[in-house]
Amino acid sequence: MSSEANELGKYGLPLEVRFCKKCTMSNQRPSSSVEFKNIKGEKKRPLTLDDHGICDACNFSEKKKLIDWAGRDDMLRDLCDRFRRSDGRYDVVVPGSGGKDSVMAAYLLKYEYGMNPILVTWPPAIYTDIGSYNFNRWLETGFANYTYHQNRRVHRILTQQAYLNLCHPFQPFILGQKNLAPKMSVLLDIPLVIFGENEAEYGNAIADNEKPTRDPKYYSADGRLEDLFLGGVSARELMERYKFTIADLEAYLPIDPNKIEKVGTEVHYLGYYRRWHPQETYYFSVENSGFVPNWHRTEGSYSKYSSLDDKIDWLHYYTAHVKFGLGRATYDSAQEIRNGDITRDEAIALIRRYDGEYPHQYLKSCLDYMDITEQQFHDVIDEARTPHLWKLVGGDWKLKQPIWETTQIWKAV
Amino acid sequence: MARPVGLIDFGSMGNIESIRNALESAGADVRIIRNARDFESVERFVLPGVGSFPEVMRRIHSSGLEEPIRDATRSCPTLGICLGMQILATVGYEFGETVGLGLIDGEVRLMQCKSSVPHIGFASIQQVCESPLFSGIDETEEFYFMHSYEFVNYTDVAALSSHGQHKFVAAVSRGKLHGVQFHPEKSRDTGIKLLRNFVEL
Amino acid sequence: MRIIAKLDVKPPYVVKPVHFEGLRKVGEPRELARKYYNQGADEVFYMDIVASLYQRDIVYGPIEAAAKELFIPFAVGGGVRDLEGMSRLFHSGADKVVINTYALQHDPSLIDRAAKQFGAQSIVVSIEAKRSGDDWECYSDCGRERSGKLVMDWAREVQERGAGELLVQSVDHDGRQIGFDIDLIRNVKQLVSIPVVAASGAGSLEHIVKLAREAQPDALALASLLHYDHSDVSAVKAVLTAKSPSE
Repeated sequence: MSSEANELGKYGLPLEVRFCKKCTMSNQRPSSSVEFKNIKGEKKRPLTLDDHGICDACNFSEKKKLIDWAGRDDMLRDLCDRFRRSDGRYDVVVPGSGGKDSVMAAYLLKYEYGMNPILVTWPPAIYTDIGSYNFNRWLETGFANYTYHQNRRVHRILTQQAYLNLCHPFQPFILGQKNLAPKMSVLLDIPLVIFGENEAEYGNAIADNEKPTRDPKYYSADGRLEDLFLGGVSARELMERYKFTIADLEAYLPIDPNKIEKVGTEVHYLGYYRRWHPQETYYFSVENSGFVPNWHRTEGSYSKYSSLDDKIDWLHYYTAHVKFGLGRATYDSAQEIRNGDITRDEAIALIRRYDGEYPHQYLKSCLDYMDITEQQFHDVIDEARTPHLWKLVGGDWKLKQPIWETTQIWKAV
Repeated sequence: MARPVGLIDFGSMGNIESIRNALESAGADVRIIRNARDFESVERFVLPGVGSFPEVMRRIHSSGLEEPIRDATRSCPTLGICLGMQILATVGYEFGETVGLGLIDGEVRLMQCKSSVPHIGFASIQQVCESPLFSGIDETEEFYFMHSYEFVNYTDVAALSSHGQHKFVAAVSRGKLHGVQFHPEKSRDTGIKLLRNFVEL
Repeated sequence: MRIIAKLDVKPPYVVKPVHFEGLRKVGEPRELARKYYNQGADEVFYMDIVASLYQRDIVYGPIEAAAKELFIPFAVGGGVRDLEGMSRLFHSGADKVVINTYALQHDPSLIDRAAKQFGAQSIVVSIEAKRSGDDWECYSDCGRERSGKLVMDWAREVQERGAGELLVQSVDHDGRQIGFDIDLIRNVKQLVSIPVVAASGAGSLEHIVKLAREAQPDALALASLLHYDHSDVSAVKAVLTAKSPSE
């Protein structure tokens, strides 16, 4: 190991890039932040590789093979039995926006576990056509839905600030997605909330995965407004600067924990009770529910079936590539390797071909939405670019340590 | 006991593995023929049919196989398959005019008919004269055709077939020289039967 | 009407995507080729659906294995870029070669050159058609990349360049078992004079009868219907014979 191995660079990331030996993730990958504590300069908690060079997510994937899924299914049935209502009223909140995961979750809970789901949606900032299409198809299959339409002015400003200050335009979406469901649970007096899979599966500390309920730290905080940050700006300052009221920010703030306790809200994720295989989820949602994949390849990756509904998503993955050297193709392929869909070499070929692809298709929409100029866009990218990952070669930015140079695969034909 | 059967290899022209496998299934000990000397170990041989007329004739000339093939057809039972049958003709008109081996009179022309061309698919044949090749094969059995060109011949027709309303020559025979427009190696058991008949001639 | 069993292969497995997405395994090439041969299939089409996408050569091993003792026509495609590659495929057991991505996106003259060398009858052009308003657009790289070319224009062009056969697939119907895109097949069939193989969407014998009646393709390529054992080749042939005893 080089002497640099333990040294840290921008974002608190290790200077030496190391890739997991099984999947395509690197030690530059940050785990999910507690977003309302996220400010500029925050050090990330990066992916750890064990002594064999294997990442947490892959190790967890191995452990998954030993899980007694029949037993977990029993636990889910018990859970449902506990909350199932016999008076015909809604008894479970299923959050989602019509992507394959929420489509499958709602379907299963209704038809296999005999529950009566009510859907809640924290909608994307900018719906793609395919996202809209799939959302409508979802409703057509026979579910009622509460959509919280964000205050557009607020949402745009927060997205803009998140981009300018953190190069993280997806933050407002993430905040709402995590926070809305428990709030709706309280509002509707339906204690049980079940999400699809848990993003922790993709590389957060394994400890997060052992429990079926989403860790309260992710959606509850008893903070004062100075200590809560949105878009990298304290809530207090946002209110002063933009004349927001507390109501304007409430959607992004975590719920008062007392309220959760009163209703008895429990947030679970299906990925704990059923072996989650995203491609199989895709098949399930198409075969049972009219979900359709993207019309063509998603920019930045090779896949057509995941994270399709928000134009900001494309920008999000691009910024991740700039900051961590990991784009959408890396994320998609790492998951597919773990699920046995593709091999590591095939993944590397795909990353070489597509990772970090410029988000041409939706960039203008995103910039217009955030009300920033192309110059501002580039300035932020330049500032966010992690020096220890990138080098300038003939006017183009190239990764210093790309995954396809760490191993021998076929030459691209 | 496996009979030695030669199979001409014109070099990177197409698939002769299928014919080889089918001949072996039909009881042949297949010997690949690339030059004159290779003919010495066989008593019968097959001219496979892949590629285009001018391309195959070009390779026959450049490989020096023309004379050896002519000589061999005089003494050995020979089976030309698809293009292998067509090159026996006087002239072919695929991609321009090309002189064939001229061993059986006739011209190879583009099929003119209302149905789709190339003619691709299974069809049955009408035997016009008795031929040992078709022994044990009845009229309902089908062979696989895959061609845009047909061998126009009136003197040595062994069988006819139809593509839509259009009748064309499906097989020719002249002494020991036989040709079939279809692909027996792609015609299931029926094709294997025909190949066995040839192997056992 | 020829009945063709279509194997979409991500070596070493046969897979069945839906809308050209997903890699669910349904069997192995040799085993399925054999199975469908025994059911009476007229031909087998083997498509390495990831070669172009992964920018690599087609994998030969499973092709050779599947071709052994398959005494019916065997068409093979996937990542074909040049005559040398085609030649290698013929030597591995292919009787016909199927091309799409390279000819569509890079160099259509590959079709002309291939027809000259190997004969038009051995060149199949595969079209991945996606509805676009009233038209259809051609896609490549396993239904992922747009080309900007309309299917009808491309079909006419490839026929002129010397292709012997067209395999017409539908991105909208692929793997869905909801029936064929009949308009698509009918339009192509009326436009060209080379044989047209209709693919994508067969979920029942009724779908097949309807397609035969309304579009009259020269052949049918079946995948999901066979792989999931919803029917078999002999049942398909029987229903088509019943529909039209004179054919």
